[in-house]
Amino acid sequence: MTETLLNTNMHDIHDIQLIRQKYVDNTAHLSTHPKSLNELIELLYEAFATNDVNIDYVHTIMNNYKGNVKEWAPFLKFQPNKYTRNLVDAGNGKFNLMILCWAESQGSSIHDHTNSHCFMKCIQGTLVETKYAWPKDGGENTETPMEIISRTELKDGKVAYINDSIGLHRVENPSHTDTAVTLHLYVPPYSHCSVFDERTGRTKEAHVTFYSINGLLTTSE
Amino acid sequence: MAAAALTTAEDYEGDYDLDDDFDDDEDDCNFSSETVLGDTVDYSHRNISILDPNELLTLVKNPNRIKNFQLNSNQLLTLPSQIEQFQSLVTMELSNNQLVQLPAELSLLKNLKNLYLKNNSLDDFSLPKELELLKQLEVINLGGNRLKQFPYQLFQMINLKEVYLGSNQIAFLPDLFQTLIKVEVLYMGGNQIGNVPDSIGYMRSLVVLNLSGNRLRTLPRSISRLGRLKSLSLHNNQFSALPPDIIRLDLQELSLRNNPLVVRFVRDLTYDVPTLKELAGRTIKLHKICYDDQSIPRSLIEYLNAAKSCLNPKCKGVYFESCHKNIKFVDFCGKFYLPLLQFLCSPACTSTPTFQMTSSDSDDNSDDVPNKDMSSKFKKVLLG
Repeated sequence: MTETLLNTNMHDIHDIQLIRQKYVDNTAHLSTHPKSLNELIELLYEAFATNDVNIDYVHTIMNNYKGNVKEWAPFLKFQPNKYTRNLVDAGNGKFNLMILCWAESQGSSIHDHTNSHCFMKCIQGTLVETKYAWPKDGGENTETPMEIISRTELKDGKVAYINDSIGLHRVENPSHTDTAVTLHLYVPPYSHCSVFDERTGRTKEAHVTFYSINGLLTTSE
Repeated sequence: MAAAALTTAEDYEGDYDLDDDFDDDEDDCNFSSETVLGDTVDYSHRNISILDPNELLTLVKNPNRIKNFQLNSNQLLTLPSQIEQFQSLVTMELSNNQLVQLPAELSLLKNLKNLYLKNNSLDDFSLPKELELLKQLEVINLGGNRLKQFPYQLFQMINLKEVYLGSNQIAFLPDLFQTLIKVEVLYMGGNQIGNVPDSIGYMRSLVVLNLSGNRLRTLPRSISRLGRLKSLSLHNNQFSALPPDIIRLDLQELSLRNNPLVVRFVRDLTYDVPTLKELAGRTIKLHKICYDDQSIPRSLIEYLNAAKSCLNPKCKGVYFESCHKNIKFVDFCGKFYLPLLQFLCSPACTSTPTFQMTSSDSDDNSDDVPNKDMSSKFKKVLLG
């Protein structure tokens, strides 16, 4: 967007123009269409530079990010028994960016997000996200099947967003022939969450770990 | 949700097709200088529906030196018989085509170890009988085809390590799995299987068994013999309860979501009153009365030897045909209740409906508490 800045004597117009100029200078280098993983990461660091985070902006850049398989290659690690979580960037503690690899038919448990924002972008294959309502608190001994809120299919770069106020979810790769890959952004990062039993609504704490960090395998337990 | 990696030396690479990128906008050219590189021929993503043998053999001067042939993501319906000239071939990648028939000459590739045929149009008649001659084959992927039967040729491939048959229409598994003693991964998800045969228990190298998305209600007892099994996928089936033999396995992952698992204690299931023969047999066994072929007919000896022990550890009884099916709820990690189907000799053998597998507090029972080893075994099991 270009604007001809008129050199005028009027004081307030001058101020407004100064503000505009400053805005243009500060953001000219930022595009909301990151073309590489590194560009996305750079934008995220900028976005999290202060304590005010614009969640809509984060959703936009996650959505617009178009990557390619070559830059994801170090994080594409599939295991035949369970999906893998591969940390891409630890975001100075303010966010975690990671790539999850889902082999055929692999799925997660139903889980919450420990008060964090969760963005999930499908970058290969197809995923099904099933959202569940929080179990109603009927006391220690009640067992009620959990209620499904929605079921959506995620593919071709689509981004899903969830946080605890929206509900809980389970993510699965429904394919028996093809793998799936997702890019996740958690704000802030968390290392524990709760997992839920669909049949009863009972819950238990789970410790969340990484299969690899920066492309290197972590030691298994 | 702690991930415990399997103790395999290599990562499972997955079938990630490096060119299957949703925003890949590179031009597809039919011939590039990189088609033949060293011992690899890359003819993938070429939009070809026929592999012209003359063209191929002009481009590939020494077919007998090629080890790796990538033909994935084209529109091939079949392969020419000249494929037999690629005698050194180790890997043949034919996934994502429209294959309806494989040539018998494929069986002449004596070095072929990896055959990828995923997402094609192969049916039971497409696989030539000669395929069974590929005795050195280690990995075969037939996922996403139109198979209605488990390919019998596979039972002859005794060096198979990984078998992928996901997303077909297989409804029946023949009881012939005893030959597949080297298979480590068996993927049968997304079929119509109603029953798993006993011979699955002979697959002693099995580490990963995926039976998700089928019509299973139970598993054979022989499943407990799979001492190396680490990952068992049973999600999306018709299990209402599980065989208790599952406890004997050393699983790291067990997926059970989307099964109609029983939640509450279910009242006694059917109990057929035992026959006189059964009652006599039970008495003989209980009191350890001696018998031999001088005293009773051979058929009765076989009958008596087939006695099964009552699962109630406090009961020394046995049963023959008439057993009492009971559902016992096993509490994993203090939070999840898993219904296990037990065969007991009589309803009297039923103790309390639930018993704790965790160490401490057993408020409602003092009998049959399994040892503490089991609770730590299943701590990492991913349920539901």
